[in-house]
Amino acid sequence: MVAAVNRMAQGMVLVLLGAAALGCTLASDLYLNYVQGAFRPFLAAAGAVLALLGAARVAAELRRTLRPPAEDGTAEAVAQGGDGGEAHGDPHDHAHGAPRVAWLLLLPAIFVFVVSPPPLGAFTAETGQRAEPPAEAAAGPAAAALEPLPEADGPVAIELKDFLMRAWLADPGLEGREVQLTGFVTESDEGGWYLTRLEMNCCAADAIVNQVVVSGAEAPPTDSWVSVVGTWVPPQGDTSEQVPTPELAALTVIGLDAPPDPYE
Amino acid sequence: MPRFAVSYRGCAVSTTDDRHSTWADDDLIPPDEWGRRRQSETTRTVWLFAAIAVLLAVGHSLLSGWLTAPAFLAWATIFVAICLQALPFLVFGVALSAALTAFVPASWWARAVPRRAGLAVPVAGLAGAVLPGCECASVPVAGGLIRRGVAPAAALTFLLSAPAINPIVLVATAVAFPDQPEMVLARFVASLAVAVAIGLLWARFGRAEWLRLPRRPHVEGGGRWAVFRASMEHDLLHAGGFLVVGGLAAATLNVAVPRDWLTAVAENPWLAVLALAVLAVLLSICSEADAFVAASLTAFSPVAQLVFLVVGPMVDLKLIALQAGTFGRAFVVRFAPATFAAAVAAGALVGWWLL
Repeated sequence: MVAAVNRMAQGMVLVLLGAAALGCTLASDLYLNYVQGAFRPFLAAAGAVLALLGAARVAAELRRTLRPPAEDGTAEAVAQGGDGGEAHGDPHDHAHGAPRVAWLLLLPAIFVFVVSPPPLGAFTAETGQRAEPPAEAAAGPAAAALEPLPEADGPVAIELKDFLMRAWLADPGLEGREVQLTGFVTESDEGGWYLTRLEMNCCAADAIVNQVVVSGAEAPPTDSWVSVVGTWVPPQGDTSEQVPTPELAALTVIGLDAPPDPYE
Repeated sequence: MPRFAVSYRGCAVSTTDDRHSTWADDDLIPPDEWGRRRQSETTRTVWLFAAIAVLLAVGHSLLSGWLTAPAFLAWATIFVAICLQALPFLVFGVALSAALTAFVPASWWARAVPRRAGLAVPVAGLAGAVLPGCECASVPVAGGLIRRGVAPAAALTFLLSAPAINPIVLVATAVAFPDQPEMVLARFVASLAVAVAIGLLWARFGRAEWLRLPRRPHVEGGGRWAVFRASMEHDLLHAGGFLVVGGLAAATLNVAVPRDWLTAVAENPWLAVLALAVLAVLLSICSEADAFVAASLTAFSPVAQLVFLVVGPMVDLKLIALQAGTFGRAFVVRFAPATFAAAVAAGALVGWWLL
């Protein structure tokens, strides 16, 4: 049997979990791979609470163990009583240790520190939930909600999801404008290649895949980040049956470092 | 050092994979021969965690070259995302539950909550509209309420309604469906109906012995703050461990279920409702974000989208694991299927009526 989580271990599990939450919010931008930027203070606060709670438990256990028996005759008896309860008692006795499942709280900490999972990328773009054009009933209000593109002499930088919505509504103010889109490269089976950006509303589990077909430029390496300036290509032929993925004719493609916040 | 790492990995495997493996005292770190006398369990625990800390510190540079499979990394990202996303809500819910235990006397609850289930249940359902958290927060709070003597029927109604109809969730739904304000109303009505129906069902048929709340540690001496701290720690370890189980399952299914399957069933109205109900259970998306995912499922009818929104905050893998840890297995095998059925039925009916 795996040992029940004794009190010292309880404290340390909480400290490590708290350290993981604090480490990925305060010491780095790692948390942006997993949750919204606005989530940072809450995650850091939760990490601090966990770390303090765990540290208090560890300190209490250390005091109990280290107290020299000579000074206080009862201390050793107390300590041994506590340990004895762990070793010989009913493993389901929750009065002393936490259940074994509490060991699993180490897993998120191990994953944050050891694996430090990267942002979702090309794999999710292929298997994940793709953004879809609005239903016809919703298209009217969605079009009304769109602001006109800002006036500018050069290209206008917009989000991929914004570009997709304008392209789907076919009254997008995209005609004749140069737009700049930023995302990562994935392979396409529709000709050209996809510029992809994942949209995240709360955490990476709810990521939605936004994709644009880029034509007129060589495909950069898959999963590399690029910024593409180009113009919208209106869809050809009958689109009532199947709406094609909106297309961007590239003018320039510039390679980039992955941004700290990979989602939009 | 290598010795620590190897021994530690052995521990990790036996923790997660094989509950029946033996983990005799001899396997603990460091081996007996290192010390003059047999060390106390506390000392051994300190050594174990020192080894874990070393692993955490050097593990990334040692292992990151090996951990490159895209599917594994996507799984790991989603697993960590679910855990970190839930953590603040869990801590908040556990703190609130501990505060209910430590600072609100039991006699207050007896006066505040109506004694008759017929009255207490709807009141509890509406009270869910004020807790601005997601489902991870409401489970420990409901556990704290039951411990404080609140009728389980009322506490369970609160458990179901709080994550589904709180203001943050309703605003998020309105933002995700900008042109369908009736979706917000339908979500509110259907979710409240399910919560109240399940509460009344529990009041009529529920049995106390199905509920197994883990015993809280008994705090001797110490003031209210000692009680607060001890119950918070206890609930975090209980519920948190199960939350990780739910996160593991949800991340696995999130990566493993290809979304192409969904478009295939979207055509059939009945299959579509069932498919999105099951998807809500499997994906375990936080109730504050599920509306955005539902809105992206445009191939599905609004009724199916509504069912997704009603089922998700009440029954999902993460939540089932969390409830099993808080209320016991006998409870969850009855509660989860009943809630699922009620949520599908209410979502379909209200959707047919309002959407």
